[in-house]
Amino acid sequence: MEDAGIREVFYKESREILDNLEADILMLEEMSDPDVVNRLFRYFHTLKGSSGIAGYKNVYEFTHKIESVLDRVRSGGIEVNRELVDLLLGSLDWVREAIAGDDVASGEAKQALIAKTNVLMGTVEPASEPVSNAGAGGEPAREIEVGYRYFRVHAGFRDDVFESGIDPLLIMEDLAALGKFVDRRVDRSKLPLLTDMDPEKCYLSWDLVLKTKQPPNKVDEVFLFVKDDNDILIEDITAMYTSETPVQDHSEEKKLGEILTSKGILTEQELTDVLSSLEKNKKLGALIVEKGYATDKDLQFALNEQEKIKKRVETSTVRVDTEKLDGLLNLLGEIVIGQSAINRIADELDEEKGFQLKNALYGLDRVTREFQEQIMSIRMIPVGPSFEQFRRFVRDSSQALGKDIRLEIEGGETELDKTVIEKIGDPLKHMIRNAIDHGIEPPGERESAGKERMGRIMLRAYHQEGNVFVEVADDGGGVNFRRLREKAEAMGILKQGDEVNEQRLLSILFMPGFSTAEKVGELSGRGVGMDVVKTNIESLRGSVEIDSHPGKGTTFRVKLPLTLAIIEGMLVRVGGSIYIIPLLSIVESMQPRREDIRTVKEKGEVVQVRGEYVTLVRLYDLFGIKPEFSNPWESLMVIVESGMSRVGIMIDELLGQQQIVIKSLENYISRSRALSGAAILGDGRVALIIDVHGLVEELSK
Amino acid sequence: MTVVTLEEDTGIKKIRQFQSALRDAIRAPDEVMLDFSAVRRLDCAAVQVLLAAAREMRETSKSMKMRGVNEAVRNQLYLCGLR
Amino acid sequence: MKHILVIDDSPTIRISVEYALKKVNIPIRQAENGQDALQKFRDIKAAGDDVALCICDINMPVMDGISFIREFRKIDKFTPVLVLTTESEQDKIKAGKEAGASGWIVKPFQPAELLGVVEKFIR
Repeated sequence: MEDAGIREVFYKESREILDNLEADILMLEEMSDPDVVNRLFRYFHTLKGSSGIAGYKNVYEFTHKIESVLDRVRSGGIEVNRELVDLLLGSLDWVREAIAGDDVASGEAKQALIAKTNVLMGTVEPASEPVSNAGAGGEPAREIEVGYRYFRVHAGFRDDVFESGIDPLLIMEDLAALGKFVDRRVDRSKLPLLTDMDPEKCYLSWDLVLKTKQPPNKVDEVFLFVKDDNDILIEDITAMYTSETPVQDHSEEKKLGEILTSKGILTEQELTDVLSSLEKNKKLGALIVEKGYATDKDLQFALNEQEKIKKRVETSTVRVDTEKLDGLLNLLGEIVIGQSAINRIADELDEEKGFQLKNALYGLDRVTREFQEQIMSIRMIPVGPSFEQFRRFVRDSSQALGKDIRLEIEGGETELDKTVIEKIGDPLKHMIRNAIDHGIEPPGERESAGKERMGRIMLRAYHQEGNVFVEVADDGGGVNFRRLREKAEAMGILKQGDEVNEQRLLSILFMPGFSTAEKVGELSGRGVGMDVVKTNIESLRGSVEIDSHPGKGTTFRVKLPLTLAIIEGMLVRVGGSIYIIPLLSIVESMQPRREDIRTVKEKGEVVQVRGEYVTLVRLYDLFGIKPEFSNPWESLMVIVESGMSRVGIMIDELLGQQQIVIKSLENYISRSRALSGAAILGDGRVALIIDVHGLVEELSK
Repeated sequence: MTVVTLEEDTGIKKIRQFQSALRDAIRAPDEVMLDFSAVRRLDCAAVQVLLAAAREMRETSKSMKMRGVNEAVRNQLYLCGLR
Repeated sequence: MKHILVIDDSPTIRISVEYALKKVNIPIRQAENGQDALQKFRDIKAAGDDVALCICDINMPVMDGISFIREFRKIDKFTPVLVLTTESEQDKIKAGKEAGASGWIVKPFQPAELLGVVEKFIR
C-alpha cells in the first residue's frame, strides 16, 4: 500500500518535472543560458532521487547518466547544441515512457540514448582538475565551485570482509582520492577491547560527506567490490549543499539588476554604479537605460525574464485535485438550496422575526457568493504551460516536413478554467497542425514570395468581454478561396453561381469530411477534419472562426467561456418550466410573423428570418411539457446557432440573463443530448440547461 | 618507555602478532612508543588494533606516542579517526 | 621473501604486467592458468616465502580465473586477488568478486595505472 502511495506521488511529481523540463530544454535550444542548464540539471537530479525512492530503478540509472552529461554541460565540458537538445528531448520521452510503464518499447530507445550519452561523455576530455582552471588565472573561484558534487556515503562492512583480501581502509582511501571529506565520522562503537577482539574481523564503519568534481559513477565504482554484500549507501546530496549558493535563486524573485548582470547585459561594476546613483522615486530600469548601459530592448527582455521567474514561483504553489473543487462547488449548490428554503420559511414567519431572519440570510448570501467566486478562481490557471508543450510539437512536425517554423506564444498568463485548458489541447493541436501542414509554405516558396524563410505560428490568448480568446495565427499563404470554392462545388455544398461571402466560404472548412489539401499531408488531412475541432470547441460552449488573407496568413480565433462551471445563461420559461440557454449560442430573439412560418420538405417547420430559413423547435414537444402558447406567432422565438446551423426555439417568456452554476445532470434524470446540465436558481428551483449543439444534432437525426 | 617497532608488512596476515605485541606494551607500566619507520602503508585490520589499543591507553591515562609515520600512514590514521 | 603471482594464458599480458610492475621491486611469478598458479603458490609457500598479490585473468584454459580464485581462497583467505577483465565483461568482475577476488583491473591497462593499483594492495 505504502509503495503504491509513493509511486503515485512520484508519478505526479515526475509529470510536473517533465513538463517543466520540456519547456526548459526548448528554451536551451534558443539560447544557452547557465540558469536553464542548472535548472535542467536539478530537474534530472530530482527525478533521479525520487525515481530511486519510488523504485523506478531503470529511470534512476538512466537519469543518473543524463545528470552526468548535464553536469559536464554545466562545467563547460559539453557544448550546448542541437545534438545535446535532441538527446535531452529523447531522454525526456524515454523517461516519460518508462514511468508510464512502457518497458518493452523503451528498451531500445534507452540503449540508443545511452549510446549517445556515452559519445557525448567520451568525446570530451575527462573532467579537468581545478588546477588547470586555476592555472589559467582568468576563471573566478565561483566557476570552479559550481562543478562540485556532494555525496553522503555510509560504509559499513561485513565482519569477514578481510577474508577475500578486501581492505576497507583502501576503499576509503580511494574515496578520499576523489575529492575532500567535508564531514567524516568513524564509528568505532563495535570495536571490542584489544584483548577480546578477533583482529581478523572488521568492526569499523564510516559516515562521510565527500565533496568532489567526479561524476557519481566514479563514487559508485569505488564500492564496486563491496556494495552488494556490505552496508553501502551513497547519496548525491549536491542540491542540499548548493542550495546556499547562487544556483538556487530562480526560486525567488530575482532582482532586475541581477538578471541583467547574469545575462551579461550589465557588468557588476555598471550595476554598482547605477545602484549608487539611484534616487528615490526613480526606476532602476529607466536609470540603466539613461546611463546607456542597456537598451530599452535589453531592459524589456530582463523584465520579461523577471516576470517568467515570478510566474514559475506562483504557479508552483497549489496542487489540488479538481474533483475536490467540483465537490466543493456541488456542496455550495446544496447550500444555496438550503438558503432559499430558509428564505421561504422566513416569508411565513411574523413580520419582525421574518425580517431578522432575512437580514441574517442576506449576510450569508453574500458570503456564499464570495465563496463561489473563490472556488472559481482556484480553478483558473494560466494557459502558458499548456501552450509551451506545443513548442516541441511545432519543432518536430515542421522538421519532418522540411519547413522552418517558429512558434511564438503570447498571453501565456491568461487564465482559464483547468477543465477548459485540458480540453482545448487537442483542438489547438489540430489547428497548429493545420497551420504547419497547409498554412506555412515551404522555405523556398516563402523566399520567392519575399517573406522570411522561417515561418511563424502565433499562439495567443487574451481576455475580452468576459470571454477568453485563443488564436492560432500563421503568416503563411492563406486560404486559397478559388480552390475552396471549387472543392465546395465539387462536393455539392455550394452550387455554381451561388453568391457567398468569404466568411461563409471559410466556414465550409469546418464541415465534416472537408479538406482543401491537394495531397494528403503527413500531419493533417488524415480524414479527421476541422469539423472535429469545431465540435470539440462547441462542446466547451465555445466557438471558432477563421480569418484568412491570401499571401498573409490565416488566423483561427477560438472564443471560450472563462469556466465550464459557470455559464452566462438566458432564463426562459416554457409553460411552468424554466430552461437556460447559454448566451454564447444566442443570435437573437424575436416574435415571428405568421406569414413567415412554413413547412418545408425535409426541413419540417421553418421560420423565415431575413431571407434565411430557420428550423423551428417546439421545446415543449421535445421535453413533453405543456406550453402556454403553441402557435409560433404568439410565442417568442430564440434563435440559436451551432456550427453551420441555426434553429429557432419557441418559448413562452424571456426571464432575463444570469450567471449560472452548473450542476452535473447525472444524478437527476436520464440524459438527453439536448440538455447539458442543471442549475439551481435563487429560489431553489432547478432549471435545465439546453445544450444547443446537442439539440441541433438531435434534430438532424 | 616501551617501544613497539612495526614490521614492514604489518597487516591482516600478521595481525595476531601485532595484537599481542600491543597488548603486551599496554600492560607495561611505562609509556608506549610506536615506531612506524618500516611501514609504508597499513591496512584496516592494523588500524583497528591500533584504535583499540589507543582507547585502552587513554582509559588508563597512559600516552601512546608514534614516530616515523609517513604521509600515507598519517592519512590512513586520519581516515580512521586517529590523530 | 614475497612474490606477485601473475596468472594469464597470454604471455603478452604476463610480460606486460611484469614490465609494468618493475618498479615495485617484488619478484613476479608467472602462471599460465589457474592450476599452474595453485602449484606455483604451493611451491612459494613450501620455500617459506609468501605471495603478496595475485593478478588473475578470467578466461583461461585448464582452470579459469573464477575457479582458481575459489580454490585459492580455500588455502589463503587474506592475500588480495585482482581480476583482469576487458571492458565488455563487467559481469565477470561480479563473478570474480563472488568467488573471493579483492579488486579488478580493466584490460587494456596503462602500465602506470596497473602500478598504482598494485602499490595500494601490497604493503
